[in-house]
Amino acid sequence: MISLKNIATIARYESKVLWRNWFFRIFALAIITILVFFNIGVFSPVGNNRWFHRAISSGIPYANMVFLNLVQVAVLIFLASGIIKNNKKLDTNEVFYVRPLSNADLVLGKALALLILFFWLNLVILVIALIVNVTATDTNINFQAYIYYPLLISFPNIIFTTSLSFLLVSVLRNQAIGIIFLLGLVGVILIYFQGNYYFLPDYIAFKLPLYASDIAGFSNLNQLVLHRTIYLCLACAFFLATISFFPRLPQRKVNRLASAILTILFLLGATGLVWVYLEKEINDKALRKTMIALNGEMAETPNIDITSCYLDLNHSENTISCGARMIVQNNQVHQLKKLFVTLNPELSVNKLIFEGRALNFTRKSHLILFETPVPILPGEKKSLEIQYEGGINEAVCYLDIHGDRYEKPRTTFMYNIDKRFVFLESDYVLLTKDALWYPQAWVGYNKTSPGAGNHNFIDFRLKVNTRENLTAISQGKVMNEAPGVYAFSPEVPLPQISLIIGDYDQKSITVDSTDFNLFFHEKNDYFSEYFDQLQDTLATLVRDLRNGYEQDQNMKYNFSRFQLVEAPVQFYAFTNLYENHQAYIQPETVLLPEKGGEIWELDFKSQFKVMNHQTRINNHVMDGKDKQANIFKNFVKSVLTKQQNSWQFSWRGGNNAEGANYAVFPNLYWYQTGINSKKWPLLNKNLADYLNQEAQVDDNMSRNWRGISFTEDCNSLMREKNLEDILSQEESFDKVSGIIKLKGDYLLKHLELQIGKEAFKSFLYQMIAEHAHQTLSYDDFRTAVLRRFQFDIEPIIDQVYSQVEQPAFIIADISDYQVRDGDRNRFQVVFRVENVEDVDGMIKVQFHYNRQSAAFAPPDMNDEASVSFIPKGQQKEIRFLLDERPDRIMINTLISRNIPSVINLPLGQFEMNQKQQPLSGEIILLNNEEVAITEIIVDNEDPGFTTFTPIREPYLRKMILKRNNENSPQKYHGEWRSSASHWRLTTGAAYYGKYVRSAHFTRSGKGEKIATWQPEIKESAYYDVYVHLTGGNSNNAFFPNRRKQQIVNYNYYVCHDDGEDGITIDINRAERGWNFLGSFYFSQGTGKVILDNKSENRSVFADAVKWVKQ
Amino acid sequence: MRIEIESLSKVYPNGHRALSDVNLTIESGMFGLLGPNGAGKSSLMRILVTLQEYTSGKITIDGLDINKHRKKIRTLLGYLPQDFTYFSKLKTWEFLDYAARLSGKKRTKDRMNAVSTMLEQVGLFQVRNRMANKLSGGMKRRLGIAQALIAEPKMLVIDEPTTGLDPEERIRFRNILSDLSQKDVAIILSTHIVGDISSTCHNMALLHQGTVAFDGAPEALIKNVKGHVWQLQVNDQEFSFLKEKYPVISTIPSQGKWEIQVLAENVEGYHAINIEPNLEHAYVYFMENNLNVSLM
Repeated sequence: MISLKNIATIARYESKVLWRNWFFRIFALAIITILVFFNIGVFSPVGNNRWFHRAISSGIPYANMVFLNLVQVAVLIFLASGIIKNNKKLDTNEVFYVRPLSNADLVLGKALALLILFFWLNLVILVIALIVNVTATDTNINFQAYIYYPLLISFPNIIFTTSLSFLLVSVLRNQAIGIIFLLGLVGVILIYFQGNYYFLPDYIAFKLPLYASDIAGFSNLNQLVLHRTIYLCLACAFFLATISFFPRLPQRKVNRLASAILTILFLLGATGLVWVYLEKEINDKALRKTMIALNGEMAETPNIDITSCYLDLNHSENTISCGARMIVQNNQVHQLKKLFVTLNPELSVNKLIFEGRALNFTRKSHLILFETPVPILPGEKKSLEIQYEGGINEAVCYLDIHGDRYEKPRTTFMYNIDKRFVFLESDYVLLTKDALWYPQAWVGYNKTSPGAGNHNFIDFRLKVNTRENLTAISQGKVMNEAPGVYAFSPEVPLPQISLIIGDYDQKSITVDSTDFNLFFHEKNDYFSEYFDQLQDTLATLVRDLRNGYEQDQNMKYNFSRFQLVEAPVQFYAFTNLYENHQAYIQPETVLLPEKGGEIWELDFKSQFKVMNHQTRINNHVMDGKDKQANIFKNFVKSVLTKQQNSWQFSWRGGNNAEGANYAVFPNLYWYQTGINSKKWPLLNKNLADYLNQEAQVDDNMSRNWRGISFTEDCNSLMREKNLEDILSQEESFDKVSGIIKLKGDYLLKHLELQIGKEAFKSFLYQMIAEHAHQTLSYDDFRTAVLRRFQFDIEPIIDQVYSQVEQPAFIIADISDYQVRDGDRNRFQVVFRVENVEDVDGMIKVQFHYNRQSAAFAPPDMNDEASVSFIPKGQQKEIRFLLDERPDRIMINTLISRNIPSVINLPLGQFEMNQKQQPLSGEIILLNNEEVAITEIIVDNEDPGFTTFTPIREPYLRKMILKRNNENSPQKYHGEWRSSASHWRLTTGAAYYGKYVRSAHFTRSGKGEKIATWQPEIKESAYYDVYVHLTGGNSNNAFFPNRRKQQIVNYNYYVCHDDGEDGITIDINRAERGWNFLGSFYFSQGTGKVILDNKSENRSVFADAVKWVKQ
Repeated sequence: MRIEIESLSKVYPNGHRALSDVNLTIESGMFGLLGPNGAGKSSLMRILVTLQEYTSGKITIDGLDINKHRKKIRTLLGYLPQDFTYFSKLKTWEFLDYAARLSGKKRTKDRMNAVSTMLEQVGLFQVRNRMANKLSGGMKRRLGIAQALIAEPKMLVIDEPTTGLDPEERIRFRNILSDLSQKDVAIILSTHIVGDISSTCHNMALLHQGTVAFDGAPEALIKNVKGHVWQLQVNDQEFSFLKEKYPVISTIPSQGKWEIQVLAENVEGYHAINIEPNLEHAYVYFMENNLNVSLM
């Protein structure tokens, strides 16, 4: 049926024909050129790009293959459909059709021709990549990657695309329709499917997680091979179907039948493989569902606590066998007889021995249920031993996370990286408590009590037996008893234990009796060369950093060791809503990403480059040792202790709750103590966040982009739903996480106000110290606070967590001046605040000083914030007397209706006021002062304000806008988005407003669009007319005077009794606030002010107009 | 080599009956297939070279059923289609080598020798490195015959081989075929140019509306018309008169008059000379008298 000789002949000559095709030549030349520049720019020392791009040895070939693959698929569609089409003009084809060759020879020969052609192209690209890889001396070369990436990415794609093109063109008998269909399919996969449906539709391998680690290789090789085999199988089916449909009489009739039968067999084979591929995913999904349901059933079941656990573990291939000898205690008020522990469902239990007696047990998924012969009395301790063995199913991890968040592909740069929570391979192991690799006596996530995870301290011991050449890493003092045999003895009880086994090298230093260990893969020492001069000062450096951190946090690091362990690039941890850390942080241990991953501070080459540049432009002299020390400190303070900001930029806003966090703070609080509360499951997390003094990252870009800030978005959601609903429903994780933080911040600020900040904090530190390595129940905590401060925290906790209503603050009359205070000048800032809603609230005030670099930088963490309590309906005057002159004031209204929620305004000139006495503190103002109404203000959201746009929106644009608005009704719009052809609302602190400070804006033009303010003049008289301006041409609070010299005019028209006056104001030279337009006579019920959109600026803003009766 | 066609019919899916009850026996040597456009020549050719299936009947080639032994029969075939004009981007020698390889010539040395010999034989050796699609029309036809012959076929099917060729190329082409017909090869030459057959074929068939109207030696066809071909000189008025009355086969202006050839039993009242007929005369005569098709 098939002649290899014929196939080779056809392939040889058809590939020649294809090679002489100009379309292919131009494409090949273009892609080679682009990839040469791409490789040089991104990976070579010339480009000097991010370290992460080239850090892992598989990166360069992977990126090249992804890039090429994406482009070649389109070209392939054209060539493949062209080579197979039955061109009636090409009668020369027929002289070959009468030769003694089969249709299979013809189809496969042509397919092979394409494969040969693209093989050479792939080879050229890989050679280019390899050359660049060789020149990038700071990265390893992984020759295998140059073989397996083409085999996994490119060739299955070439073969499948060719087969599909052949089949479609043969069936449709129309090349154009075939091409349109195929390109459409590619578009749908790239844009719509992406990584959905477990990557199954992604035949192009565009989103398939193929990034291989230098530590653990491919984390999902079986699935990857299966995925590619499915498409190879389908390709075989399609080729065979093409042979059946090929428009030439077969050599023998039976050939066509054979092709049809084989097509069906291959299709069945592919279907079978799809089933195998999906089976794991489907089973995992079912398992997670079962586990959540079982956890729900058991959530309220009283159970023992494990107080000590000795694990004797053998690691062999991709399994473990373990004996867990535990002491369990009944901490309940009733006796216990029916007990349970949990263990990964793939670990089969061989024996369960209770008090030396083997017991029968029932296994339900991860639950091991058993009944003791004699009840355990309250407080009684018993021994329990479980022997188990098997693999680990990582589907048990993160049961609380589902849907898109769980399945969303993880892509960085061009790399699709698998999300792995557990590793159990023959040469690499990484097990955290989430994997349920050792028995635990509480159930995990369930819908009944989603946040009620137990936080219990256990006296762990761990013995590990693994391959001789592997290193085991866990918590506690380690004894390497024999090659491959390790015994770990943690000095203190821990809430969890982890185990890492791999081909690790170690660097260690002991400072003040604490061991600082660095474990890295034997080939991954990319950092030593950057710190070669620090050897003799490292101990001092580490000591200083530790002391500085402990001092900043006011807490102690109480462990005997601190270890940084390099984890494979695929290792991923989700953020749990009820915990303030991720699995990257284990007791005593931080799991850093392979070769520093995306952590900018671990890109030492770039760090040195930036530092050299900065020292040069600042004319600083710094020797190599100082530079190394600074880079080291920068890494520790930005990544591990978060004492300084790792600058982040967020267009869309949000707190990046899903981002990896490597801060060691959990080792100061979470792994040392904690407050257990079923009633207030968020309290422990909120307390941890409160105690964590890490530098905050502000996101001020989101207003400019979206019209309101992330916090205002969260506040808005909190007004719509109560916290319980927000936590249980499908809100965006970022938002839920933001709300938890806001609530926590509010709660603790409230408690601070009631108890006194210093007293409350020192009480908390004392509690932590007294309850080191154990947890405290909420009731005990509440009682302790009550006893100490005679204050019950429960009503406030209840109010904060359950309150939906929010206060609204009108902040006005911010004034600044200098006063004489004794023999020195001081800086006085005074403003009024009124809470106009029926619920109490708080505001937090901070000042920004010129000493910081950028105007939009968050306040210095060392500058204390002042919090004021503003009860419902109350008006206060708040006064600050400052030693240093601030340049901005930031009034944070916390959880409120205010937009912006943080009023961030520049302060004035602080002119000397000799008459005024220095004032500080706050005074309550009387609300009911009858003030004669002499002012009429029409703001842009008042009924008297109207806009007019004469332009008709194009139909299509209108339709799109309407559809977009229907999808996400958006009231406010960012100023940085392209200004619209019609008037839109935006917000900002500098605009006029009561508690919502907004303005309308539109694209500038010839004056055809207008905004009109129409007052309700009740008394005919002369009025002074003012317009509210933000002072500065961009109307953007952060870049006020960028083009100060330029005249930017706004054209106002005042319609009064004597006619209409046009008044032009240069907004660059206008005052911030009210600007005088003139005095005019207005009769009762008449008058208006009009602003047109004629301006030199891109946008025109309409805010408020004020009429003041003379 | 013996090709036997029995009761062959071909009906296309659209209902058009291209061949109807065709019975032919073709032996080694040149066999001409003559007929007007649409007579079914190309359908028969394409069926014979296994490019197309027939509806009913039977074809055996050297005793092999064409439907059952397609692979074996394809080893015996050489085929030159009608519009051998458009080529993929291959050089002349590559095209021939491609054909040779697919025809089973396995040893590189033998094949390269065969390719060179064939290129010389058809006069294309000088342009062997030129792209096939850059060859002139005649050269393309020669390349066509070269590829058909490269596999040393036992049965050569040539469809409209001389269309569009200049006289020199046409003679050259006929000579190649004549040389070949000396071997044990059945050459089936389909054409509507009568001269191609008369100069080369010993046997022929005349297809008309899908049926075999005549099957035999060209001489037999000519014999029918013997004594019916007249040559005479006439003026304009006479020419108009005769044209209405008899089929005029050729018209040559001569000294202010016309020298014409007509087909008739007798031409009375004119000075007409009875001349020796050729195949063209026979073809017209046959069509006019036996098939009642007016060609004039």
